[in-house]
Amino acid sequence: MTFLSHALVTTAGVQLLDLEGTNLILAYSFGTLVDFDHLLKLPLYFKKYKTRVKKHYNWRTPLQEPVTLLWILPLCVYLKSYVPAIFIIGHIMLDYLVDYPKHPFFPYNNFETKGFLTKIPQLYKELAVITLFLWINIALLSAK
Amino acid sequence: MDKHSPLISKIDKLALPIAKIVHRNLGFSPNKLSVTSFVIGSFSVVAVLFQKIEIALGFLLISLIFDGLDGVVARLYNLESKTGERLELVFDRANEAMLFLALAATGYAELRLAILAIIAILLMTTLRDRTKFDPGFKRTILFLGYFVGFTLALKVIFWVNLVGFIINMLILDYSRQKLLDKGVSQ
Repeated sequence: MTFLSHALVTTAGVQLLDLEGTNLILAYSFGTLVDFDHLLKLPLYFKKYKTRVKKHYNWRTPLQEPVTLLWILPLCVYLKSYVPAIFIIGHIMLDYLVDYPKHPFFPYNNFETKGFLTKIPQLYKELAVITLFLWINIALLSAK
Repeated sequence: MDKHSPLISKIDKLALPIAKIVHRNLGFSPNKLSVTSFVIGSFSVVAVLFQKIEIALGFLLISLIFDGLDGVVARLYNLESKTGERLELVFDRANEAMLFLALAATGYAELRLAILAIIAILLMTTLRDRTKFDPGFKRTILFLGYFVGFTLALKVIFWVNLVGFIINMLILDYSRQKLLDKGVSQ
């Protein structure tokens, strides 16, 4: 999913759970900013494609696959906060709506999946998420 | 010897006289050294349970020396084996777990932190053999704990090993991506 979708879902979660302070930072870190892991693959991308634009390059790292919960759950216990787990699960769920190959259990297993609702065109799913969460955010904001 | 890093080779050279004594003169095989290290490490756990921290750290130091020697003897005398590696790994993790839990049981540290530190080390251990990356902050940090508190020591162990686990995941993913980019299927 795009950065906008993740940001809208995270903002809705933040409003719903009434998060502030450290939990607010954790929510945006694990709900949205985790996408910055894509930067780790920039050197490999430039090495292969130079400045050419290549669609559907595998930018994902295990940091935003379900396997990441292996370290996020202990982190939650350490921080005594459920926020990292909730928001990374939200992030992963959104990404699994996009039908590019994913490796949920790498590096322990090379199982590959394309996620859910793969038959629905990507644009529709993206628009549905953006519309729904924009509405939720506005509704929550006006209810305050 | 050729397959080991220059640092390990240097350590082996430095430890050669001691390794000769324990292997040739005292008849210790690498596995016997691992077992001895574990037994002495267990004495350290008992000392913690009796709240004799200085004695516990003394036993821990001796245990760590034996732990280091098993690898040196194995390399110098070509006695390396998968079983030996696994044995050492299981003994090391078991000794760490017992030590951390003993510290928690005697009130030197929080039980939550002890369990988290064990989990972080175990996570890191699951991947380190594939990447050869291990930050190494485990039992040795307990010596620091004597001065700064065992709670802080366990926090350091937790964080370093958790980050170590993440780095290991990323190293493996990067290596896989390199292969995929070259057209090698996994």
